[in-house]
Amino acid sequence: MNPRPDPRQLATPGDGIAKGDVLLDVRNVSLAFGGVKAITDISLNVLKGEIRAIIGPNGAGKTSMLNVINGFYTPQQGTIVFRGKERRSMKPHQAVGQGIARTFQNVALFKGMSTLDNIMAGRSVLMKRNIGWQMLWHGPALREEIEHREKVEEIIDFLEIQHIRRTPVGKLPYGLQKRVELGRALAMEPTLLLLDEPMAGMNLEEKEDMSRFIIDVNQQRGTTIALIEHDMGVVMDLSDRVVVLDYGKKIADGTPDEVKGNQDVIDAYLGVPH
Amino acid sequence: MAHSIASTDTFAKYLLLNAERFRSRPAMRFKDYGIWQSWTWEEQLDEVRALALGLQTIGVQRGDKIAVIGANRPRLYWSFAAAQSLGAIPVPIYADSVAEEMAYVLDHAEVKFAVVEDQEQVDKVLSVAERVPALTELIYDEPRGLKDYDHTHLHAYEGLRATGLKRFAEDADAGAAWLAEIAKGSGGDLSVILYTSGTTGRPKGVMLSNDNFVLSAVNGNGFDNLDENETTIAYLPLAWVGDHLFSYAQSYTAGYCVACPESPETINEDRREIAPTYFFAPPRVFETLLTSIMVRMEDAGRIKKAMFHYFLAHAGKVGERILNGEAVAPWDRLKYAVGNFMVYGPLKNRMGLSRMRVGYTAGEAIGPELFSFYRSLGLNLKQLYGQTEATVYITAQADGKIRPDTVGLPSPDVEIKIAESGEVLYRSPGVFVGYYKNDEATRETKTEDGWVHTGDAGFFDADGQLKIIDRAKDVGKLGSGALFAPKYIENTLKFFPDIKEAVAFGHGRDFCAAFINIDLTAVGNWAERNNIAYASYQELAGHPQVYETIATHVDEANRRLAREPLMAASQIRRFLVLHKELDADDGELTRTQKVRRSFIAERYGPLIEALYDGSKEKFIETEVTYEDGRKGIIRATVKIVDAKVYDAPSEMIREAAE
Repeated sequence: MNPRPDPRQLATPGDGIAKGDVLLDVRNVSLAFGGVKAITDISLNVLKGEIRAIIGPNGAGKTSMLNVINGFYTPQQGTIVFRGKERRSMKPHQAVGQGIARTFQNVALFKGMSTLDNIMAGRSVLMKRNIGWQMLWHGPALREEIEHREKVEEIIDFLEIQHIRRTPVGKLPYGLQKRVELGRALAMEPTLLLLDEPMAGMNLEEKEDMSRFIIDVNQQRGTTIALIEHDMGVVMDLSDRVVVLDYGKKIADGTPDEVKGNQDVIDAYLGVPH
Repeated sequence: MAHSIASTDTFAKYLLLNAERFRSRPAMRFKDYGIWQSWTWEEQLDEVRALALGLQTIGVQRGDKIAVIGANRPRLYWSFAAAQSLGAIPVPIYADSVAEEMAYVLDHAEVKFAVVEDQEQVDKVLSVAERVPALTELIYDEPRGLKDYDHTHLHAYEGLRATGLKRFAEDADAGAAWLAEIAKGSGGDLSVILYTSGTTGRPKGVMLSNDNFVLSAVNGNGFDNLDENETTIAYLPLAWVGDHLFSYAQSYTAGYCVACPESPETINEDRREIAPTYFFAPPRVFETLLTSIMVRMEDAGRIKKAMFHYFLAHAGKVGERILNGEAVAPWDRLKYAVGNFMVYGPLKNRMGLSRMRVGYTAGEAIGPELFSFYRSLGLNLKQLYGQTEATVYITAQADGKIRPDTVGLPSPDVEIKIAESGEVLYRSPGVFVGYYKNDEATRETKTEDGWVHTGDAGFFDADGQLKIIDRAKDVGKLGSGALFAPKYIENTLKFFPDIKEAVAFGHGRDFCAAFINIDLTAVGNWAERNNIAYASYQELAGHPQVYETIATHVDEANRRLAREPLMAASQIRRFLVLHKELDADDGELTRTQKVRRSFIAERYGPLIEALYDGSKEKFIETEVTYEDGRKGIIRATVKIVDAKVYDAPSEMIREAAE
């Protein structure tokens, strides 16, 4: 008997977009809060199957960009095309329905719930039985729960967090909480995974582990990833393409090597008077 | 094909026999995806055959050495049997070895193939592959992260298994040829090469034959009445002789089920779920278990705490006598029964030992207090004294004849004698064939008529039970001429949950002094409860209040030593708390977590000098190695503290001196 599933089964379902095609296209987006311009006329795209990094100094508009992508903010100008469909405004739960999942800069888990329950929560959007069935918890609802539990166990195995399956998340060290949060995002089986500073506040070893998991998610599950990260070493090693923002404007876009050599980027990071 | 036990002299033959006699009884369990998966003996045969037929396709032949590296999981145990069925010799290697150590063993054993667990091990082996010219093919179990590797000489276990299954289904000759290959094996053949971790120098490859393992396992099964109804949990390193015997050889000969934990971090929970009936652990595991319980009890409510301590005290008084079947007053028995319901039972359940019928501690001497604690709960814990060179068994304690301070009577078929130097020698069917490619060491250890030097000093007591004092070369004398047995002192200290490790010095010195390593779990918890802030292990270890706590422990240890006539002279006069945890990666402990005293003495020379020159503190720089092989330096100023010593009852000293 062989309990090990084929890793290919873990891959996200196809949506007609081939690897390397544009999955997400952000066109001329601007966002302002009152008089503060968070994002000014930015265009960028994310190709299916790649790891795309968004970097920039503090206040460059990175998190705002993620919030625009997953529908938390509605930009004043510009359009967003995801999986070939154009949209202007969208609620975050609609984003989830469309296959976008994210993690947060400051961990946003249910602290009193176990790792298992937190990740199961990520599956709730995919559960089809209504609340009546869920409360009965028999027949179809139970079968559904078992199916989802199987997927969750795959994620637990994948992220090597078996030992904290039953531990309340609030009791876990920060590095592990981040991993659980990644697990919950993966549970939604996203087409596009947004990671907001997945390695903030981690030590070297935790960063290495996290990098490993991000690469594995990308390669084995075929998930497209867009991430914000401050650690340049990590960004340059992980990503296929990097976009650099500064003061809400795009100043560079390209492969890690191209971006590294870009004078504007060097200035932005070393500091040049504006 | 009919098999009989009498003619069964290899593990591959036992596998065929078990598939016939035990059929659908469980042979192996493994927790995967949160569920216990199991394999019956018939299924286990299918798995081993599939792998063996797969291994043949990449060129495994009789006499080849196959390294097996990884955690305890069924597939790695199957590779032992698969290799042996083809006449190849498995060489299990400690999975936590750094690449450097691995390179030495791989090269020395002339390993041609390696079956490894995952990417981590693949990376390690590949990083030293150049220095292992014999190595040709690498097989991995866990495919994760290995997709983009060059697969010319890298094979997925899954793939080989599929090839093997296909060969067996399509080619009737393949299966028959495999059975013929098994039939060629005999008891005299080499079964496995186990590298000893070695407290000194390079590891040595101990060659053990099928006879060594089969006879030792059968004797062991008989001694403890083990049969197919037992369950054990496999969690100790594959490369340790004990695991090879308990989780492989005895399982194959007795037919019992071996459960593999989900991951190394989940062992405690997995053990609770499986509740093994046959369990073995080095003293360290029992120590950690006790420490974690004591730490949790500190957080318990006042009533629970009072109940816990009241009944534990009662167990300490009568528990062992009840277990030994001695006469105990009915009132005490009743109280013990209540205690069992209220405290001991739940405690055993918590530790996953509620079904334990036979438990062994081996690998190192266990502190008498620690040993008695478990026995007083009604757990049939016994001591075993053994060595890789003896295929484990030298002595073992028989039921009903158990004392905390001895290691028991000679095991079945084992002869023991004590040399004039005090060293223990033995002769048995388990005595190893020799050290691989090291005849000189073989000659030094094994005499021509088969006696093996253990390197341990010991003596027989009045009941004929063997008592081990220490490593023969470690037993020394203080300046005054009094006996100095460092391990005994260290064990006395280590019984305190706050103390994880201790290293005692005193040979040729005026008095005994010690290094102490705090236990981060216990002390960290204490610090948390007392609002003591600390940023690192180093800071916690140097904290004045931690020093105070440790000083009370040292004081208590001295009181205990003072009561032992032979040990009273070696009370600890000065001690320090080490600023870093002793670690196998830095060479301070062996891979089986034994203290390498001479290495530590050299590395921390200035600290030892400071212990004896009266200084109050000392600055030290130490190089450390991280898990990935990088090196760093930690600096610290370590405080040194004096401890009070106690007078020994004077007439007892005279008695001991006679």
